[in-house]
Amino acid sequence: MVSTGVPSLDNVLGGEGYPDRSAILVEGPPGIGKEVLCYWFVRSGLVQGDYCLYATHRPVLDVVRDMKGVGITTERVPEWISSTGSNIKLDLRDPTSISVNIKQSVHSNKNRRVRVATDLLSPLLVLNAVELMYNFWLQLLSDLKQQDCVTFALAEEGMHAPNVLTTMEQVFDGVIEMRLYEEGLSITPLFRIKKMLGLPPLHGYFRFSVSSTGMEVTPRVH
Amino acid sequence: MSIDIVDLLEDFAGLAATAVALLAAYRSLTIGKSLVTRVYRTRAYWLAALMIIFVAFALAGESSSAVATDISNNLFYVFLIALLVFIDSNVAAAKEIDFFHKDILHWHVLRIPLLAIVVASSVIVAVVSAAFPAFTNSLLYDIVVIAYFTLLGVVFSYSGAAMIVIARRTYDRTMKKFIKMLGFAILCYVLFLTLFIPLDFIYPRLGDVVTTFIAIAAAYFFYRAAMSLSPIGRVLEEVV
Repeated sequence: MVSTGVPSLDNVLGGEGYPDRSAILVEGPPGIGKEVLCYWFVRSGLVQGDYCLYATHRPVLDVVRDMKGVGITTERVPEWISSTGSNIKLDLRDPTSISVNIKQSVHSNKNRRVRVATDLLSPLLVLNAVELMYNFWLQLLSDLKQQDCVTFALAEEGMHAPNVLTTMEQVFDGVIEMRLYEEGLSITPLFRIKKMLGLPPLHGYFRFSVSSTGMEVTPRVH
Repeated sequence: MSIDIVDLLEDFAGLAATAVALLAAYRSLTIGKSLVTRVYRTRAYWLAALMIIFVAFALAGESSSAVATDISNNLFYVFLIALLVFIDSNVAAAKEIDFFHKDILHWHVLRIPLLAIVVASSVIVAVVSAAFPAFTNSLLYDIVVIAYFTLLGVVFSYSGAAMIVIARRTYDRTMKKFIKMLGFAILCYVLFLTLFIPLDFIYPRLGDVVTTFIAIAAAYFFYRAAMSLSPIGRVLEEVV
């Protein structure tokens, strides 16, 4: 198992985190905090000495600044794939090169445990046909799993039709949904685990809070 | 009797606009508190601040005291300058989340001149109105006010157009909906600015009622903008 980087979420997932050789999808509207889960996942890997690859459509400096904003700093840094600020350049219009770059980086570290984090799913889905992207992710994730890799992908709920996201969920072993919920007059951020490899269906919602000292997950009591 | 109905309508419309704006402020604050990403959280807090100014402007306008009227008049200027700065920050936010960072109607060139025009003209009108009360009854003052409101109409129409272009271009449906609602609110505001003066000349009381109803529509669209900052679900209680 691979730690999520958030101890209370590890507990929710049976005590140890995400399954080995799995692909996890976190979906939710913009601004809800999907990236924070991703940052903690990467940080946890860096602390444990895993090889971490971060493929992003955002400039590297923006991501680093964001990470610092939620209290994440490490001496080690992930390998970046980005259009700005990385050694491996990203071209969103060329999915093949993205796939080749990710696989090459992972393959060159095959003696270590590998974590891949990416926010490329939504931009690629916007720029390409769904069928093409379904096959693209199916193939890429399958190859990464063979390299003892855990992949963590983010999907922007507001950017795709619901059926598109449902289709993409099929490719992943675990799906976590984050969003705001109305409870009376108040509005609360909650998440639920739609599916997770190796775990029975998890009913119910979980509260989460993000601060500069970490992320906290608690079951929603009603 | 008809005067009473007009009074009643105006009071009702004023109360409704204030209530909707208060709700929008509350919702914006709670949503802003729940959002993690700076870009969206800032949108929510901006909206809350605008609605609080809107409510303060409406409440001060209801008072008969001279001080409250002065405060209300000044809050009008504060509101429109804040609205323009908010629009500018939305353009910047839309560019930030746009994968391809496109320019929007040359906004980066025009933003400072537009802001300077609005601030300078508002200061001139505010200072002239406060310093020379006798001048406010002259024809020249009427011309100045008409020119000022026309200028505001042009600036905010352009801003509304920029919002529409952003809404059409952005891939992010959340931002698209938010900007669209904001665009409608700004259009209501333009309508308010362009109707206020002519109606004030023709039939001031009817003008007040019509513009207050437009204020309800503006507050409603601001509320919808706040609620569209993030899709809000309802918890489905499942049997475990």
